Amino acid sequence: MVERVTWVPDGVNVDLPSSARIYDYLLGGGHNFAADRDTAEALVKVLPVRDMARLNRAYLRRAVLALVDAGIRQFLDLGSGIPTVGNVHEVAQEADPTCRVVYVDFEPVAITHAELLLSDNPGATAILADLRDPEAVLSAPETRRMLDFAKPVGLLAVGVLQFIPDESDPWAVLRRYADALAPGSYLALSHFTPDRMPAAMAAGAGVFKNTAEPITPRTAEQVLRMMDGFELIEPGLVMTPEWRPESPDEVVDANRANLYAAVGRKP
Amino acid sequence: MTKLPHDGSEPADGGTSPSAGPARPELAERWTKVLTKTAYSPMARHRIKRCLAEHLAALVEASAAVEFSADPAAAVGEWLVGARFTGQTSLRRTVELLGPALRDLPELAGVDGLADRVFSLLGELASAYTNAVRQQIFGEQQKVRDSLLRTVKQMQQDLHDSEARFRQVFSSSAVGIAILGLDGKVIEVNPALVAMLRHPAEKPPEQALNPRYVAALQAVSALMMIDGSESFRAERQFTDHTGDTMWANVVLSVVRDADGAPKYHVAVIEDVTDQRVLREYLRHQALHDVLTGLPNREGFLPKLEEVLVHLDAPRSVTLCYLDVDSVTIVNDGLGYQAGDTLLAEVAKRLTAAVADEIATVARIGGDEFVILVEDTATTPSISALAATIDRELAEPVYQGDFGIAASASMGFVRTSARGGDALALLRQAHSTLRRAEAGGKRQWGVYDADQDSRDRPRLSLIAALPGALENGEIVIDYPPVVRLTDQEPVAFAARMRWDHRLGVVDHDECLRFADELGQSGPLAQWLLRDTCDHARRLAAPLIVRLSADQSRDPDLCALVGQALQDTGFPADRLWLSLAARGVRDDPEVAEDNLTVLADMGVRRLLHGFGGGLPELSIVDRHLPHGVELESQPEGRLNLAGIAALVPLIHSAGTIVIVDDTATGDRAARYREIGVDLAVQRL
Repeated sequence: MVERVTWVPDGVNVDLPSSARIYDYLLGGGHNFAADRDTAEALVKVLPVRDMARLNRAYLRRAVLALVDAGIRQFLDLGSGIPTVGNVHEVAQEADPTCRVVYVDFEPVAITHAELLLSDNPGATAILADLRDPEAVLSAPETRRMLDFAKPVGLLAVGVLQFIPDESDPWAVLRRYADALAPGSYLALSHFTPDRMPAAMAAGAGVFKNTAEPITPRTAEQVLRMMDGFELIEPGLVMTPEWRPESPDEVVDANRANLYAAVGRKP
Repeated sequence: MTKLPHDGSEPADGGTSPSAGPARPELAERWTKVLTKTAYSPMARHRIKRCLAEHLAALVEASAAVEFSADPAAAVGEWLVGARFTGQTSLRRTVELLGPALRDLPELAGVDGLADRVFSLLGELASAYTNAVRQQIFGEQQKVRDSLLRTVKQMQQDLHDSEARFRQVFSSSAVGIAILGLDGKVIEVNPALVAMLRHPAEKPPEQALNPRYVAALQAVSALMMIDGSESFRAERQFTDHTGDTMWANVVLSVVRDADGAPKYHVAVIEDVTDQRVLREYLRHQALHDVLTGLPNREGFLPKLEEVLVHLDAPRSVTLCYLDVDSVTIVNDGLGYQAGDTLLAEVAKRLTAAVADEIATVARIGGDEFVILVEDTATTPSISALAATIDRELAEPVYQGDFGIAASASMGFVRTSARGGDALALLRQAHSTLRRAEAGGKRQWGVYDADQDSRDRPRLSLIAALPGALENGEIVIDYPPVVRLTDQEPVAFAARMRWDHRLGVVDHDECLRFADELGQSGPLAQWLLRDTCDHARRLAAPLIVRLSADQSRDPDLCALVGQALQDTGFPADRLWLSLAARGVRDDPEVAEDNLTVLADMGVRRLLHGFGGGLPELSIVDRHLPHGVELESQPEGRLNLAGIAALVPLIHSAGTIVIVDDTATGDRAARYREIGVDLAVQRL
């Protein structure tokens, strides 16, 4: 039943670990291959990545629900990865079925997977695009079809910006997205940081260096600058489990979370 | 993604199902806390807690059942997997919590064999959990593989489409395309190239390209590989299979694979034979005269340069610069068609005249031709050449009923100097021609280096006149004019003087230069203005001598009027001296001027007066104030002649002026013959 693939293009080379599939494995999913699992286990040895993944995913859910509460019904999810546990459209559409979501990733297999998953969901779609090219993302036919930029949009950049090196100027990229959003839109992000566990994060960066997606963990100041143009909402810039936790005992892992979280509103 | 289990939804009564029994919030809370630490679940916390409470109730009920069955525990295990509590420690923590919790639960205290029942339940839970996890993983692995395969299929489809597009372009393109391997072997050749090279259909298309061309292309490809250039473009001549030559624009480029390593070369070959022919035609047009077919100036000069570069004494070249006389007259009299016919015929005749020589004939100007002869032992002398050309041209050219004869003036120069300057040689021939022309029609001359060296400074002087005028280098002297009877000055004469490093240029020469340059108008304007202005202060009459051209300039009176008005100089004190020659050459305009000047009150003189009959008629008609003798009278007959004429002139009320310092004997002689005034030389 499985065909032999004689030629595998780069984007679908299963021998190369993919950050999306590694994330899925760390969350306990099965959408991954040996290379992904090996890299994940190498990471586990130096960083509490399973907890980091879990806390980050939980934050995403709380952030999306908070945005739905604030009236947002449209979401643009940058670097969405593989549809793994607790997808944005599931969370949002459960709270309000009229929510519309556009997923953006430049990994072909992830997007094909998302397309399969979303094939009978009229309120969500996935596009293959590089998030560093806001013009391409914003002008893609699927984006235009699904989202109305005259109305507020929830822009999500959760756990993705550390994959963008300084040379690609993530701050400028975010500004270009921000400029395209209507007032009342929100930006929710989370970002790897070395601030709490510097040695461990450095070791983690070392593991990623040998993959196709090296990481650049950033400091609080650098992450805050990414929120330029947005007014931070409570509780401001915190570690992922500290962002509006559902129960107090979720916060004990704050230092091990190793990701900053922040949500801001465009005035 | 697996859907959440059905029992995750909100029950209507707020949380407890009929069989739940008392709520065990604290236990449910502990279990929730423990589980959420082991994995991420997309469910809201309170919902997790509620579900766990239900599961607890079910487990308790199963533990206490009369007929024991571990089956209900399976649902719990499945639920855990469905809710994504599949972390590494999710099961363990669950078992660690449930075991003691159930064992120590007060309401189960009296159950028989509780411990075994609990083990059984936990075993069933674990077993169901494991199976569910396995299924979940299989399912997700299948999904990711499906996505992978789909993506690969899509990419292969894209590749196929791109291949198909290429195929389409390749086979239907109008330009020829050849694909060559890195080793230079021809891999494929498209139909257009086969057709372009007229390769026979029976032979394999890969052989369409001649091995020589393939080798040439290979050499270029090899070079491109070394210096890393991406493409190479050139125009090459090809011979097709029928032997005809064609010109083609060849662009050779490198095609690389996904890693950037060269894979093969593509040669795009476009037939540009037509363009080339057109280009050659245009080039020819640019270098040749349309009417005669001879090279034009641009076409001739390179040839002349080339011949001179290769010249080696004792060999020589002869250059003849030829001006066809009377073309203007033919054009004006018989029309331009006739003029053109004449010139075309002249071109043919000239070519025939030098048919036995190694010669190039060119049309270098409107009615000017040059003939360049590379002299051989049998080349005739210049005079013989001139005679031959003359003879050839003497035959009339018939245009309808009219026979037009052409005649030409020629300037010859013969040189054996190697590496001579082509333009200099041409100039020498041209100035020789001009000198010859000065002698009349149908003249020819040979370049005279000495004459030339004498002429050249004069010519450069003439050219410098306008600049000198503008820079104020020309000054005006005012020698007095005296009455011969008592040597009393009665007037002044304006005499221009240009002190040049090559010598002093006097008034008459300035006038002549201006006429040659066509600058007589500006000079007249300046001269009149300046002299009238100065003369106002002199409070005496002023003689101003004009050139021939100025004398017959229709604008003369306007200039005079303007000058008189601007300076306020009284008209009757201006003694304007017109050139007798100018009046003779163009009587209509000049005599008109004389009349109008008389009306203006200006005194008119005639200078260059030679005593000829036409001049006497002018004196008679216009009664000028005076005449200036052409030259100082010298010799017995001359003096006698003047002496005889003077009374006639006086009878018209005209005085006689001589341009010479008259003192002592000389003055006496002038007085004798009746000269009235003399302009003193300074």
